[in-house]
Amino acid sequence: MYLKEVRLPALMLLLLVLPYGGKSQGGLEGFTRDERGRPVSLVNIRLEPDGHTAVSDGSGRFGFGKLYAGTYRLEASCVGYETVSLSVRIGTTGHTPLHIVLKEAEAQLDAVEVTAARENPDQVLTSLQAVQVVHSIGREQIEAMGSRRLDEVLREQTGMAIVSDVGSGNRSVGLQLQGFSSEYITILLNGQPVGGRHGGNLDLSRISAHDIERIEIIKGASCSFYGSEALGGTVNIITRQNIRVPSLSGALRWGSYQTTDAAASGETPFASGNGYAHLGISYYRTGGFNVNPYLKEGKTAPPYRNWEANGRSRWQLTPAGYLNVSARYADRYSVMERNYGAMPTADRLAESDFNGMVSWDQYYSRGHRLLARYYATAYSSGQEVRLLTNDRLLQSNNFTEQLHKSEVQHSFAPFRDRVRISSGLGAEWQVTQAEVSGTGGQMLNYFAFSQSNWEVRPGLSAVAGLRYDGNSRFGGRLNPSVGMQYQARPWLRLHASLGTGFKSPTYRQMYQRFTNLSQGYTVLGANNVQEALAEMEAAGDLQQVWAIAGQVKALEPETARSFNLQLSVQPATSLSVTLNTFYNDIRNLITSQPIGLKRNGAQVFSWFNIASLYSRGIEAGGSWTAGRGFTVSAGYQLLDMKDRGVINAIRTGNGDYAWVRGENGLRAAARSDYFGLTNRSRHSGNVQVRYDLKKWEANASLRGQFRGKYGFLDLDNNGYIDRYDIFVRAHLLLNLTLQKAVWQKKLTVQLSADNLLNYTDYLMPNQPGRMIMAGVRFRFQKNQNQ
Amino acid sequence: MTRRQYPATIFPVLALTVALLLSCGKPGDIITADRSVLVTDLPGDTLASMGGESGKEVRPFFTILFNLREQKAIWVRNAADSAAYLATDLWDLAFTGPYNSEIFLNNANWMYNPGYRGPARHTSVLMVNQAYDQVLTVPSDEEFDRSDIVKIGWASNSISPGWFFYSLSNHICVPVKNRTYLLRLPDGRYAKLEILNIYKGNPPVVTDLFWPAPYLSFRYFIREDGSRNLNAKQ
Repeated sequence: MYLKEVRLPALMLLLLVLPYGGKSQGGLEGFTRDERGRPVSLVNIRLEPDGHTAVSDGSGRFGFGKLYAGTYRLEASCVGYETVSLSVRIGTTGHTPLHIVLKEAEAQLDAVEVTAARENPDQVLTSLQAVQVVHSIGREQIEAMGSRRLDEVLREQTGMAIVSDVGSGNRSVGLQLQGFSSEYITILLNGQPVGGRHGGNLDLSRISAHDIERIEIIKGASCSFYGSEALGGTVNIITRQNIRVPSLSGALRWGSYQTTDAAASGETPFASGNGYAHLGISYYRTGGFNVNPYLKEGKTAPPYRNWEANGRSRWQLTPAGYLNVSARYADRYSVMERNYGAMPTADRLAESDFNGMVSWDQYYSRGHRLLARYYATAYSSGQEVRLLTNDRLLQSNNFTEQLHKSEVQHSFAPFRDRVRISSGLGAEWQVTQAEVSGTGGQMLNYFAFSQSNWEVRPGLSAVAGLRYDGNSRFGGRLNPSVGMQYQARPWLRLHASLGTGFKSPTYRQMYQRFTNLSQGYTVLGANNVQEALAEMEAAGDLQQVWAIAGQVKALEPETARSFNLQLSVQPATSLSVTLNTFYNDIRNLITSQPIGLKRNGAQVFSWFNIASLYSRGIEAGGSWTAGRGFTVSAGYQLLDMKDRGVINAIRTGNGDYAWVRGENGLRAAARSDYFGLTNRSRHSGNVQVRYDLKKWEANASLRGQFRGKYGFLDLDNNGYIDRYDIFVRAHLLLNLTLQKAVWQKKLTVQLSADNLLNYTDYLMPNQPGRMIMAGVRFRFQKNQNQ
Repeated sequence: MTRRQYPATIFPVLALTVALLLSCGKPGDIITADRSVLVTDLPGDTLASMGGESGKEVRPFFTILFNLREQKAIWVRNAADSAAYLATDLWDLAFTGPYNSEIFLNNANWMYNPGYRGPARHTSVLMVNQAYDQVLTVPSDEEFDRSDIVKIGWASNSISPGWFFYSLSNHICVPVKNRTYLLRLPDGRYAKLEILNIYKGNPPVVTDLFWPAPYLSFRYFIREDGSRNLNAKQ
């Protein structure tokens, strides 16, 4: 522990419940100790449902006064220890001190299922109350991995992959989750959407891994809280919060590919602990890298420099009211030069990104809580590709997006806390401007939701949610979700959930008329395709219109239903195993198809609601504390994602999907020829071995990530990946991180080697070769005596 | 690259006979030596654009004529070039249209052929869905006479005789594998032809929307003795 002695009064009532008067009240005090009986200071003690908190002092002592008589759930949590939850009875008469024994937590490198509630200033619901299982990656894990950017953190998680989308440009990378591509995954920063997507992809390397407190991941369509558009899942990045002691921290790292990573942050409680503030700044620079042997000069993954500043504060302004503010600004500049031996190009990108939020959080009696907030985000990017020989412009793309969102959330817990009902409503105003005509515009989104968590009996809880989302262009839909959790035995827990979601067609898909300048093809919005075709005909641009053009209809939203069933087994304290099976049913997917031919020989496309997919699979994970400082954990995902249209066409032998081009020309396709969709590996997994050498305050972690082969390009143009197509080969990436704490843990020296085997493939343009980084992390915490 | 680097008429093409064949691009492919001619990276008209891409010239792509035996390219930039070269037997193949991707065998009879009303009256093209190395004999002249293939271009569907697919998901031209063209040349000799690529370096997979194009790679074998044996290895 950093603090030797704390003589301040231990009592720190952060949350007060009003009104006080007229009821019988009692108190509670106790001690926190580790397994060897030594006092543990700075343990956060929290009493639910009222939300009283206290922090243990240097002798491990904590106390509460003025508590209403009754039964409370107590939770004791501290960094480095396992969280303890227990039930305590507070009476009006005297009480004996409570002794809480904390077990040292074994560090774990993969995402863990969230099983302990954490107070969440951004939401009236904690992640424990979500319909789905919430996986969480904590700060300690991120630091132990030596990850610098968000994509580096997520690509090591089971069932998650970072994939390149070559068709959307060289810079286009996105996250894949349970087989869903990036456009179906909502990325949130402190519960609010991050903007700036290109071709549906959100490049997660825009976000620094510094100042992240934890990352919460929900897989599958779900969430009454985060919106129905998240058909594939939600990733919520939570920055530093719940700050108890002033500290200064930071990191400085250098390494391969001219990479520099520097960050500094300061945080402190203020107003006698009634508020806290955090401020962080980071700089990242990388020289990019080239994995393409055909590229004589230049990079396949962009060099860039990135500045980011973020701040967050919570302040108790009235006895039961809190003001929260947070802001983030990031700025990135990148020049990517490429020369294949002719026509060298430079691709320049400048991006800026602002997010800001103000909220008021009010607590009332009987667990009522009201949260009102306003959020704004503004993203802008300017990109152009020029020929280096004569500075001619080949492509430019300027894009801005603004989102203003207001929301009110309320929660309360009737029936003696056995039910918690959380509801909210809000609206967001989205304005986008794009150089490509028709992609800009304004849209009003509105939503209302309600979710109810019911503790049926101890160990069994159920949750049901309902959410309505709509927008000014399309209209709206109602999406229900249900889930249940059952602690069948102390060592066996079940979690089942069923979620639904929908994604309304975009303006582009409904109305835009777009012509690609370099390729000459034209894409027509489906909702006014006949008028557009008539106009093209009149202008003499059309050569042919195919029969399929008559089948273009006004677009319906894409929908998904997700089912997850998770089994968590803990046969021994040192071993835990989870097994999750999932099934996602995705319908009405919007895809483009050619509907005719232009005079210039290029095609005319429009949009159809035809594709229907499923993604199903199994995720297995386990963690074993092997003793002598070793922890081993592993994860595996079996994914089967297919298009029902392809399966039917192969079965009936009709249509373009019904054939493959083998070594001896065209032949009828068999079911076994159908590998699946591009970019999806059937098998993927990871293994992590961590070794902690306590007496040296050092640890080592060796992590392997495996991806089975996946389809890259449909070579024979039959519309899907079959065995004759281009695959990215199966591969294993190894990462090693060594770190040692020195100077009473104020400094941590770190050496990391990502992609130790230096495995590259030019079909994975964004996967760099071996990257060695060395540096230090520091954290100075103020002794409260001073 | 600027246009100045290409001489107005003839472009020398580098790679000659003994060819390493990159057709499938799987690492570890056996390098076969035969008497085919491999042309790699024949520069097309890299300065034209289809839809008025800013900075490029908004004009049709210049036609590039190619003489198979001499391995020579002839650029047709204007009316004078057209008059001088099109209706002649100075060329066998014409690379025309968007990205020079539409290929004609010199032919006097079809009105959209660059060689229309020229001397090449008996030429014809056949397509077989067979790997180049497996195409060993020339079909009968009746088959050539019956052929209705007038152009080797974009294969918009599975039965189209074109040489490339256009990938909808990533807007890249993908050559059709295991597809070979049989040619009856202006001088009556037979040849086989495989179009390999339109991208610089003849890569097996294109991973970049700005991969330089058109740079044409193709291989062919002419049976000079007039026989019907197309085994280039003999």
